[in-house]
Amino acid sequence: MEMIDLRRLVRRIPLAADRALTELVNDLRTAENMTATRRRRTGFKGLVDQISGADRRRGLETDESVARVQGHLFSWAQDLSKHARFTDLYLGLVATNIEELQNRVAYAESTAYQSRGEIRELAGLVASFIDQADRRFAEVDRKIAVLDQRLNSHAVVLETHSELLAMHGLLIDAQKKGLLVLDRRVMEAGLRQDAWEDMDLAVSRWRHQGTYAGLPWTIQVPLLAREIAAGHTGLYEFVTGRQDWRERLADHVLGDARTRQARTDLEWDGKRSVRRLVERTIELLDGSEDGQIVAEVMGIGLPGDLRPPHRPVSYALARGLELSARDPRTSPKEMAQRAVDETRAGCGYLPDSLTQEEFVRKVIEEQADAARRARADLRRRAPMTTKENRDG
Amino acid sequence: MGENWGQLRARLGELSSRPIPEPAPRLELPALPADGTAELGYRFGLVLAGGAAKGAYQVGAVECLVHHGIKLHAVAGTSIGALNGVVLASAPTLAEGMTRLVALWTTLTNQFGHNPDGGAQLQSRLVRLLGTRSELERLIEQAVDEQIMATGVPMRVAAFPVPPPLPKLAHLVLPPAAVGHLKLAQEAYNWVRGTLGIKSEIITLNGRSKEEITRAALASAALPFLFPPRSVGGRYYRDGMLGKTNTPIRALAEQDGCDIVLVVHLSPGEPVAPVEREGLTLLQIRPDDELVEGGPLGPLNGLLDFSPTNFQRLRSRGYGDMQRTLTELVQLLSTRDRSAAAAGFLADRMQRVLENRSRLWPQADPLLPLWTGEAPNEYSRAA
Repeated sequence: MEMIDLRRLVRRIPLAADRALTELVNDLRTAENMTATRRRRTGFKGLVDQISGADRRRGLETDESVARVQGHLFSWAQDLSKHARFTDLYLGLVATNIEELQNRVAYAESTAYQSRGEIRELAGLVASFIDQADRRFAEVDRKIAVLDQRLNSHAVVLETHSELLAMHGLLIDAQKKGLLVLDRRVMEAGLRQDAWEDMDLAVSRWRHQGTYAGLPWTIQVPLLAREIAAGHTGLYEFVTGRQDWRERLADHVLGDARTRQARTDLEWDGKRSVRRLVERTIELLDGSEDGQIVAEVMGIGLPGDLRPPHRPVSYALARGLELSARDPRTSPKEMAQRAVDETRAGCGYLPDSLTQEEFVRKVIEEQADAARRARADLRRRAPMTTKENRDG
Repeated sequence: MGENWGQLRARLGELSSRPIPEPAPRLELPALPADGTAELGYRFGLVLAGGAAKGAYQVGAVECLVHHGIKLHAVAGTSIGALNGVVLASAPTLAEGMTRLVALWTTLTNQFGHNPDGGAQLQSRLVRLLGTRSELERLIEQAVDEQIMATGVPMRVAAFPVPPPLPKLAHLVLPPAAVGHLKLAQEAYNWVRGTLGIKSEIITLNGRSKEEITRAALASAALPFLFPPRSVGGRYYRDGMLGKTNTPIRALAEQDGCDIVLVVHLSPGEPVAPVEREGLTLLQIRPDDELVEGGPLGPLNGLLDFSPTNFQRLRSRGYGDMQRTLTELVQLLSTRDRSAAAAGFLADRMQRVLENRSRLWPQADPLLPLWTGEAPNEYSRAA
C-alpha cells in the first residue's frame, strides 16, 4: 500500500498557468484602455467612431476582455478552490495529527507524572531505606562501641589478670625456687646425713673394726680420708660445697687413740720432716706387699683420667711405698728422699715438715680436694659425651 | 555487602554521567520566492504597430524589455514598427539592438530638429520629414545586417501590395498635374482596396539580401504621398497600415512558438480582431492617452513629429507603460509563485507528517486507507 505523494499531487494542480495570468493582465489592461478611450472620445470623435464602427469594436473588445477576465478569474477561483480544498484537507490532517500528538503528549505527561510520583515514592523509599540503614549502622556502631568498651574492660581485666598471672608466675617461680631450695636443702640434708653416716661408719670401722689395720698410721689416715672423700661425704662436699666434714674427720682422727700412739711410734713431737715421715712409713711396712697395694690404691701407676689427681703429701707417701716395693734393696731414706724430690718436682708444694695435726688436716684436705676435682672432671666429660651422641 | 554497595555506586555513577541526548534539530523553513521577483523566462514575440513618429513610444517600450532581461524570439512590425523591428533584429542581442535604435532615433530626430513655436507645424514637419527621408533610408540601410538576420530572430513586416508606380515615362509624357492626379487616384485606389478588405502581406526578411531587407522594411513604412512604394521580390508594396494590418500579430502565429506576444500599440483603444489573437497569448501595451496632440490635425501632426522633444516624451511614455504592464504581470506571477510555493511547502510538510506518522505508528492507522488509494474518495479522485 503506497502512500500518496502530496508533493506530486499539489504540483498537478497548479494555481494558474502563466499564460492565463498573462491573459488576465492583458485583458484587464485592454478593458481598462478600451473603456477609458470610449469615455474620452466624445463629441465629434465619438460620432466618427460610431460611424466607423471603431466604438463598436472597442465595445466588443471591452466586453470580450471583461468576459475573458471573468473566465480567468473563474478558473483561478476554481484552482484556488481546489487548492483550498487540499489546504483544508492538510489542515484537517494537521489538526488530526495535532490532536493525536495532544493525546500522546497528555499520555506522556500522565506517564511522566505517574513516573514522577513513583520516582518520588521510590526516592522516599530509598530515603527510608537509607534512614533505616543509618539507624542500623548507628545501632551497630553503638553495639560495637559497647563491645569495644567491654573488650576494653576485658582487656583491663585481662591485663590485671595477666599482671596477676605474672605475679603468680613470679610467685610460682619464687615458690619453685623455694621448692628447689627446699629440695636442695632436703637433698643436702639427705646428703649430709649420708655423708655423716658414711664418715661415721668409716671412722667407726677404722676405729673399731680394724680397717686398714697393719698399715702405718701415716697410711691409714690418707686411706681413711680417701675412702670418705670418695663416698657420700665427698659427694656431699661436691654438691653443697660444704667442707665441714673435713674438720669433723680431722677431729675424729686426732681424737683417736691410734693417733696418739702414732705420735709415739713415729717420734712425732712437734714438727716432723716429711721425708722422715715417708722414710718411717716405709720402714714400718718393712717390704710388705701392702706397700705396692697401698700405692696402687692411692693411684700410683694409673693414668690421670682413672684416678684422682695426686696431692703432695699423699703422693709422697704413696710414691715412697711404690719405690720401696719396687726395689727393696734401696734404703728407705733414699726412697723417701726420692719420693719427696719427685713430689716437689711434679706435684706441687710439699712442706718440709708438719706437725701431726697439720699432717692429718693436710692429708684430709688433699684427699677431699682430689675427690672433688675428680668429680668435677667426671661431670665435665659427661655433657661433652652427650653432645657427641647428639652430633653423631 | 561492600562489593554490592560498590556495584550500586558504580551503576549510579554511570547513570548520572550518561549524556542527555541532543534534541532533534529544528526544521529549517524554505525560502519563498521574494515578492515581485518572478522571472519572465518565456519565448516572447514582439509586434510593433505602425504610427510614424509615434514609433518613439516603441523605443521606450523596448528599452523596458531590455531592462527586464527579456529575450525576443520573433519580431514583426508594420510601418515604423517594421523599421524599429528591423534595427532590433539586425543586432546580435536585444540590448545592442536597443542601443542602435536609440542612436538611430537620436540622429534622425536631431536632424529633424525641434518644432518651431506656433506656426503651421504640420507643413513644417512635412517639409522636415521629407528632408530627412533619405537620412532615414540611409540609417535603415546602415542598420540592416543580413548575416545576423539570416540566423537570428525571425523578422517579418506587413506591407500592402500595390500596383507598380507610374513609370518614369509617364512623368515625361504627362503634365505634372496629371501625374499628380494619377498618383492620387492610385493612392485612393490602394486605400479603397484596403477598405474593401485587401490585406497586407507578411514578408519574412530573414535570408534575404541586405538590399531586399531594406526595401521590404521601407516598403512597410512607405506612407502614401510621403514615401515611394518599394519592390520586394518583384512586387511593390506600401505601408502595411493600408491593409488594416497595423499590428501583424498573425505573423507570429504558429510559426515561432511564442509563449507571449508583446504587442506595442501606438494608439489607445486599439482593438485586435479575435481572428488575429486566436491561439496566441497576447500582452498588449497601449498608451492610456493619445500619443499625439489634440485638435483636428493632432493625429496627423503627431504622426510627423520627429522632434527630439517628442522622441524623448514618447520614449518615456513607452517605457512607463511597458514597465507598468510587466510589473503587473511579474507581481501576479510572483503572487502565484509564492502561493504555489506555500502550497508546495504545506504539501511537503504534510507529507512528512504523514510519513512520520506511518513510521512511528504503523499499526492500525485509521487514516491510512484514505491515502493508499484503495478507498476511493474525493481526495484520491482529485489526485
